[in-house]
Amino acid sequence: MSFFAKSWGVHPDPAKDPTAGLAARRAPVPSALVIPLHQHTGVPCKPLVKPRQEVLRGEMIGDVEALITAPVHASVAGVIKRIDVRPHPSGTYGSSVILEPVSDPDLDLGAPKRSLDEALALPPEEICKEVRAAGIVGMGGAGFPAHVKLSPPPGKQVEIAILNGAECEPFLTADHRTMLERAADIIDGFRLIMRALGATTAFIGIEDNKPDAIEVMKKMAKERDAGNTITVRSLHTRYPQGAEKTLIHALTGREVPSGGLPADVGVLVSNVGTAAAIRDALVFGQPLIERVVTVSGGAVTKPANLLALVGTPIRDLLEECGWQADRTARVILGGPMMGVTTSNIDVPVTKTTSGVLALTADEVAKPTSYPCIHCERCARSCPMNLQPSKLAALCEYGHPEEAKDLGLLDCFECGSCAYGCPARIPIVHWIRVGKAMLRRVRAA
Amino acid sequence: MAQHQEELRLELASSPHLRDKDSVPKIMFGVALALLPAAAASVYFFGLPALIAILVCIAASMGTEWVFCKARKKPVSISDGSALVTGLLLALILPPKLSIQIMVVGSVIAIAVGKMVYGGLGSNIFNPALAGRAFLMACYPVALTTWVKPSGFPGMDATTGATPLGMFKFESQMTGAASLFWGNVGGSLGETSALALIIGAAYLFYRKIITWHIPVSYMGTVAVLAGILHLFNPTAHAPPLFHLLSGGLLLGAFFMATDMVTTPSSIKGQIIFGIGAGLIVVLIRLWGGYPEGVMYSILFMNALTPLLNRWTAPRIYGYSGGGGTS
Repeated sequence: MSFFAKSWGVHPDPAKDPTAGLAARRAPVPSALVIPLHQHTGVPCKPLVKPRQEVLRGEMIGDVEALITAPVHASVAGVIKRIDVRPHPSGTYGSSVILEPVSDPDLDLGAPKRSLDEALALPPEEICKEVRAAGIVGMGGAGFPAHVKLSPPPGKQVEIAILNGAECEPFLTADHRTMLERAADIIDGFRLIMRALGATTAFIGIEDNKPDAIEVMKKMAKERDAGNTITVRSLHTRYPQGAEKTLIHALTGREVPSGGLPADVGVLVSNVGTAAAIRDALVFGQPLIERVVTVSGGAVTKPANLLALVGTPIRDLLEECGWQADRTARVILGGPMMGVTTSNIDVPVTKTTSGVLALTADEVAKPTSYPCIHCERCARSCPMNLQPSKLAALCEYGHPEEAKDLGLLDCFECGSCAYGCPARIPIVHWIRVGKAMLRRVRAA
Repeated sequence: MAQHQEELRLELASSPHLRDKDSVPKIMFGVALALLPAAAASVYFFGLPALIAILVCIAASMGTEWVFCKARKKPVSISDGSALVTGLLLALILPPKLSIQIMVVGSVIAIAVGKMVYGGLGSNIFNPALAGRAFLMACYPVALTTWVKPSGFPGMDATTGATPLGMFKFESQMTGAASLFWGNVGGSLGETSALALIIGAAYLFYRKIITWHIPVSYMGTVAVLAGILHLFNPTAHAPPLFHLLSGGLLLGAFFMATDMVTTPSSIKGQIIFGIGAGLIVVLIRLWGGYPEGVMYSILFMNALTPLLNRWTAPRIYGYSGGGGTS
């Protein structure tokens, strides 16, 4: 079978060396924070504060009553200046809380509110409630509210929990550093996740280009998980190994049905950073208000991993890292394969900002293109086994319905197809156009 | 600060932001490079006429593409290298000592009718070089089946002689494997030396421009069928090695049946393509009117390629059952 099995994925230059060896250090507190009220998949929050109001670090400043949402919190003690519509990292505008920090703010975790054992003894519903109150969302990029994933619909039992430490995107090392520096916290958070789900099997998947992280996580899993339920697995390094569906398949052999969720096959996938955030929330009562961000790329002279407060303008992070504006072609939020460009560097770090990359013109794709020669590299690299060139052509010429019959909506836009295309066709772009056309048809 | 913002011009673009370094011209020039050993062997065995044929076919192919692009007021696409490959391939599948007019007609038909009328590179159904040769075969049947004995450089006074397949079919005369391997036999310019073709094929595999599926299933089918028939009747049917090394099978299997544009996309489809083409080669060589069937075998399977693509669509992740979203 393996003789005929296709080897999906691509192998872009990992470009992780500049930051992989650098411990995360705290980014300076900015003069003003811009905290978007919508940092997650789901319903945007409504502000709970008013201008001139004083807030404490970790105080809830936005929430809404909805099934799928996550509250937002003040990343630092300070005064609310105003609530305003500001440029959002997604490329649109969004309602945001502008917060002026107090001088020399206290950024420590403080004293624990309970021990880990006490947290593990909490009933699952209580864990979910506290995870929601802490505003925790998937920190890998999608930003799906964690408490929703932790409480699967009745009738669906999640027996396998997976932590995603693959970090297959080039340049990014935030998860790698988090695993090296906070291995114990990740294991503790993972145990809380398992407790909330009643999961009996647990995997941590890490690409084999991070042997140090694999070693540390193995050691820590053995030390802190007496039941020995957590297995650390080394994964073949290839992009997109860390995509949810491919990761589930690699670790469990299960396939998430089209249009379904991992819970449909009894699996939950969570990012390693999310697990650490859940531990901080349950043991220290600290909500998700800061995260590690990799700042890298050819147009920064001092790449770094920065622990940044949510709401810090990315301009501050870039300037902290020796940014060369005149050499920058694109600023990318996230990784270079799935990240979004921004034209405005005053957009803030959110809960899902894993990286800020300033790439030079030599590093980014050039807009040349040739006719498709049907080399099928796109199809060979597609982790979903789609025919990307065909989907792109159908979408380009206005037949998204036909593309839908060929699996258009199963594409999660990992970009492997466009990366490897020798004709340099913007395949993912056309697929996005096709999906947008379908949405418009449905809305009409 | 506002001023700073104005000076800053950042590109907005759809992900992915990285691209592999390979490109269509690099693939095309890679194929041309892989054909160089065979081209060199043709000049070595057939002399100056081979060199002239190669240059004429390449020039005529590129010229035709240039005229077509200009006439349609489209950007000239010669630089993608595909016309170079078509011209070179066409030269290598024509007999030595063909008149220049015939070579030009073949090149014009290959590019104009074989490729450009479909919309250019990537849209054609048939392999352009083979389409050009098939046209010449219909128009100039005698010239296209007049072969010469390899006489070395400069090769201006070559005498006529049949190909190994022709000699076996019509005169029951067997050519040794060593001659076939080195290439000191009659035949089309590029098909005589198996060694030169194998070196070129190795380079294509190394560059990952071709995969094993079509060449192996194609040649494997020919070898297995020829082997079975040879076992039953060793005097009437040549051994498998003879079939593999003679005629245009190696050239066709590595350089034309692997043409990405005109062959199936799925692995299953490629293997069916190879088996089908192999079957046709054996049928024509053993029972057909021609001694050689590689050209028609590939053209016929080219025509089936859209159907094969439809039948063998891969199963998408997350769906049970057959191909597509069913």
